[in-house]
This record gives sequence, C-alpha cells and structure tokens, in this order.
Amino acid sequence: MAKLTLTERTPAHLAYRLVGWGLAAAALLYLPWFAHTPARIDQYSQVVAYAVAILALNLVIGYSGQISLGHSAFVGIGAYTTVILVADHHWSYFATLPVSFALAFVVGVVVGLPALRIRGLYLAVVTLAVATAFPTLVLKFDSLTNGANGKQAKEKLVPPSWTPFDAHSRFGPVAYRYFVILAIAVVVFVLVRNLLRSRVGRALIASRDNQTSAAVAGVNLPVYRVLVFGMSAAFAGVAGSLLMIYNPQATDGKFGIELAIFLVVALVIGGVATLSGAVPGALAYVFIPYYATQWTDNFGFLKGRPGAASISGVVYGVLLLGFVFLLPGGVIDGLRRLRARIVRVVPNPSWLPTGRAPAPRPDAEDLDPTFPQLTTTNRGNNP
Amino acid sequence: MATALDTEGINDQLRSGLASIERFGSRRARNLGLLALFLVLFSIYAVYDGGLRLYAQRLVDAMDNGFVYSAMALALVLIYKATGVINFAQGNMAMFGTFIAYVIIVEQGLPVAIGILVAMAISALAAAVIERLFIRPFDPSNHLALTIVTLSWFLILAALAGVIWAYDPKAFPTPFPGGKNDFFDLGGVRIRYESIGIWLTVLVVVALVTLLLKRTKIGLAFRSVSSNLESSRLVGIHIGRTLQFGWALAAAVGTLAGCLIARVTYLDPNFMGRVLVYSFAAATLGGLDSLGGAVIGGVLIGMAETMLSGYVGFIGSELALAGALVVIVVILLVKPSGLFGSTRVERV
Repeated sequence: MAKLTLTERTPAHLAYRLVGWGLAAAALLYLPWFAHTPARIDQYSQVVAYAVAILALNLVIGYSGQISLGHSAFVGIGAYTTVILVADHHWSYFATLPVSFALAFVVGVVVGLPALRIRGLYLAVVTLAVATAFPTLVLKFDSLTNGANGKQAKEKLVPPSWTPFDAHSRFGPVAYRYFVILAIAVVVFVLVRNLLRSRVGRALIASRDNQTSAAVAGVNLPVYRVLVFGMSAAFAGVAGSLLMIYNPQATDGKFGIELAIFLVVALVIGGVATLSGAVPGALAYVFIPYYATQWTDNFGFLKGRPGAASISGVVYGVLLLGFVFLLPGGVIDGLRRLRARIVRVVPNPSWLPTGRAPAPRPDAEDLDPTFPQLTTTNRGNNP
Repeated sequence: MATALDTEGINDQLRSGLASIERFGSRRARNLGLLALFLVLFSIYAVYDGGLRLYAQRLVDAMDNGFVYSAMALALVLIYKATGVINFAQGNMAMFGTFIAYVIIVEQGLPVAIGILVAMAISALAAAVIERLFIRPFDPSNHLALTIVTLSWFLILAALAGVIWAYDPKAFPTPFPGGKNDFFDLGGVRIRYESIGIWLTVLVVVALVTLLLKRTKIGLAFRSVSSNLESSRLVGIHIGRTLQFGWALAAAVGTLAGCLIARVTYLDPNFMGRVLVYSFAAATLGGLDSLGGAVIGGVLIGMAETMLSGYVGFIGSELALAGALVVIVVILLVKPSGLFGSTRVERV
C-alpha cells in the first residue's frame, strides 16, 4: 500500500513532479563532473546517443507493434552522412543533422513501403536483410565511404570561445560534446513524446492494439505505418550523427546486424513502449561489454581464451532471458512498481463530471505488464 | 433515377472483367507461370551472355547452396507453422550443432556420417529442452516475448561458441567423396559427387519430414496444432509436447544443413549468419507456412545468389546478398504471402 497519496493537479502533486524532473535534469547536467577520466564522459555521450537510437526503435516496436531488425542501417546512414559531409565537404557538425534526418527518413520510407503489404514478421525479415546488406553496401561504395578502412573526420567538434569550456584542456572538449549531444537528444525525446501524445500517437497505438478496429475507426493504416517507420529511421539517423559528434569514426563493422539486435535487446531491458526505457537500455548497451571484459580477467577458466571477450554476449542473452521472464516491462516497469509502493497518484475529482465518484486509477502493481502484442501474427487459420 | 450512379452496371462490368482474368487457371498457377516466364527470360539472356556451358555450370553450383538454404528454411518453417514465431536462434543452434559434430568427428575421430547423426540427435534433445524451459512458459500468442527469447538464444549460443571454440575458421569434413577429382562430366559441366550427396541428402530429409508429418500420429498432431491451436487443445492434443517435437525436428534438420555447408564456408561461430539470412529469404519467398514452398524457395534463392553475382556485373560477389534481398522485397510487394503461403482472413 502506498505511503503517500497525491491528488492530480494539486500543488503537492506539482511539487512532486517538479522535484522528480529537477533531480533527473540535475543528474544529467552534473554527470560530467563525476567522471575521473575524459573516456568516462565519452561513454556518457555514447549512452545518450544510443538512447536516441533505442527511442527511435521503440517507435516501431513499442508503439506500432512491428519488429524491425534493421535500425543499425539507419544509424549507420546518419553516421556516414555526418562523417562524409564533415570530412570531405567541411560542413559543420550541426549542419549535417538535418541532412542525416532527411536521408534516413527517405530510406526509412523506402524500406517501410513494403510494410504496407508485408506485415509483422515479414517486416522483421526484410529489415534484417537491410541490416545485413548495409555493411556490404558500405564496402561496395568505397570511394564514398573509404570501404573497410573506415571513414573518419580529422576535426572534432570543439567548444567555441564563448562557451565556458576550455578547448585545450583534457575535459573541456569532451564535456562540451556531451552537452551538445545531450541537448539534441532532449529535443528528440520531447519531439517523440509530443508525437506520441498527439493524434498520430493515438492512431498508432490504436493500430498496434487492433489494426482492424483502428482502420474501422478511420485510421489510415498504410500512411501511418510508413510515416512512423520513416520517422523512426530519421531519429535513428540523428542518433548516428550524434555518435559521430562524440567520435567521428565510421566503419562498416560498427553498424552491422549485431548493433540491430543489441538495440532490440537494450529496448527490452529498458522497457518496451516506455520513453524513458531508452536510458537504462543504453546504459546496459554501453556498460555491460565494458565491465564484462574486465570480469573475464577475474575468471580463471576464461583467462587466455581467444574468444573470451564474447562472454558479454552470454551476459546479454541471459539478462534478456531474465527480463522476459521476470520483468517483461523492463527496468522502467520495475522502477514504476517500486514507486507505486511509495507514492500513489489519484485523479482529481473536480476534473470529473459532477456527481460521479472517481474510480481509483489502478496502481502499476495491479497491472499485468505484458508486451504489446504483435498485430499481425494470427496463428494458422484461426479466426 | 437517371442522375444516380449506375452502380449495378459498373459492378457487372467489374465482375465480367475479373472473370475474364480468372479464366486463366488458378491464381497459384498464374503466379507460378509468371515466375517461370521470368526464369526462362533470364535463362535466355544468361545463355546469350556467357554461353550454355557456363550457364549450366552456374546452375549446378547454385544448387549446392540452394539445397542447404532449403533445409534451413524447412527448419524455420517447421517452427513458424507450429508457433507463429520466427526462430532467430535457428542459425546459431545449427552452428552449435555443427561444432558438436566437429568435436565428435575431428577431435574424437569418429566417422563423419556417425558424427553428424549424433550431433543431430544432441541438437534435437537440446532444442526440446530449450522449448520446455524457455518457450512453453509463455502464452503461445505472446509473439513478441517468444521472439525475444529466440533472440536471446541467438546471442547466448553465438557468444558461447566464441568462448569455447574461438573465432578462427576450422576445416570441416564432408561425408561424401570430396577430393579434387571426384566429379563426372556431363556435356562439359562438372558435377561433383559431393554436390549430388548434398542434393540427395536434403531431398531425403524433406521426404522423411513429409512422411513424418503425414503418416505418424505426432505428425498429425503437429499439423493439427499448426492449423488450429484452440481446436487441437479441445480434441485433447498435448500442445506443448507437439511443439517440442517441432523444435526438436527443426533443430536436427538445421544441424544437418550446417554440417552440409560447413565444408564450403569453414566453421566459425558466425558462419551461419549469412546462411540464415538467405534461408529467411527462402522461407519468406516460399510463404513461411509452406514446407514445399521453403524447399523451392531455398533453391530459387541459391540460384538468385549465384546468377545475380555471375551475370549482373555491377552486383558482383559483394552485393549478391543485397541483390537477392531486393528480389525478395519485390516478390513480396507483388505477393505478400509468398509464392505458396496461405492467405489469411483476419477478424476483429
């Protein structure tokens, strides 16, 4: 039973929300000061950039109920766009962001068009194909992408003189890049949140939960499906550009099928169909391999084995199984359940039509956190 | 009512128009006819481009990979039919099984055929255990969760194989005569005995699986479950055990496919990745729920791979994968349920 009951839209509730958001903002802003080395700040930047990619994937998996295993390709398109424009055409990093967005959107729509007719797992297969094909395309067009050597931009993003960051210190440029990436990521998160709360988002969720009834209710399924896939690809492209801001080196191996699958893994760990789930997912994606390689040195039976580094794959897999079994809603769902034990938010009766007692909103602990169902995989010929 | 639209008249015209299209055989026959026409046109171009002998040789070479893709696609379809889920771990299950065969044959020194059979049995057993422990606890209609479980096994098996056997490619033996001179000449076309062995093995496996499904009690149960889960439960079929049978069968077939292709690709923990993508393509092409479609799809994909890289200069060997996949997307755009898949009616 909750210790604290708050009524919606009362000063107490407002203060509770402000404190929550304030703490989150403060944590994000002060994060660089907790780092002992610039490399750690780079890892935070990486987390933020991958969080954007996971958020983009969530638009497809969590909110439109289709499986995409091809988002690595869109991240790669964004990354290569940025690094090519910066290295060969001397653009500024910021100017490449809209280009990445637009290019990934166009490619996303082209890939998503089959989704008009190919649904559910067919889309998974097609996007898997895209993910597998992307590195081969990078190698094929090596005049543009520099092939297997990888493409890199010499000039990194440096803080301009009006910012408080010292461009010549060890921490200055790294922290500046972290804040730039964070600012763009916040913009993307707000955009996606607004998108999902709008008519588009409601239409999307309706078609995820039951596409036939959504269509009957007037949702134009093909248009929404393709547009959302395109938007998702575009945000993934932005994530790719953000990755290049932190470290302008693009290789074909970075954006292969492994990235696509790990993005799905991170999404499930964070929480499918939750916006904030992207953050714990990205933390897991960046830090598990980092610590897993350190752990391998402590285990005698792994020492000296040439493939020992891949133990992080086992960790991921087991973690993923654990989440699907024990906490299918992901980390965020777990946190919400914990919060529900302490704070309980009830609707404000004055907002309801007069004379009717408000039905208490069910706590998170009462809800069964099942996955959003895939919309299209009716079994066999079952009605 | 002269002002109203003459809907009756339009309907009649539409109906007669449709009827005149429908007159040319069944829909399936028309699709296959179009496919055959395309293949014939391509063959004419190919023979014109590089001569008959080269074309025939490429055709024979394409069959090797094609039949292996058929076997993997068959494994995928077996699980998809039963559970409605694509088993993303299928490739790595096959990879692990092939490593087990490698240990038995190369490290323990047993005969190749026995090693492969034992590895198939172990794979089937392991898949049955995985099904019991990790698949059955879930509601069969919770497809996203089931897909995530197969993805996690994809990760676990790949990483585990990397830890145990490392990433350097290993040579894998063949159960068939595979020496340099083990081939015969048919009008200038080299046909290796090993190729014939692969083709026959896959065909025999397909025949056995079909017999198993058509002539045995568990096969009947399997077909019943894959056509209607609820009704099968009502008539007293043990759903879990039937699906377990499907998983075991698919794992055994997958391991066999891995062992057949490992000699060409060499054995390392990633060697099934490419094969799996081609097999997905094959299964999708064949319609995902048709066993025969999977086999034909596999052969077609193998041919698309070889022919596209052979005859379309721009594609070359690097883009063979991408080229084959474009073919799939185009086919699916025209026919979303694949060549042989059943179309479904969905109700709210």
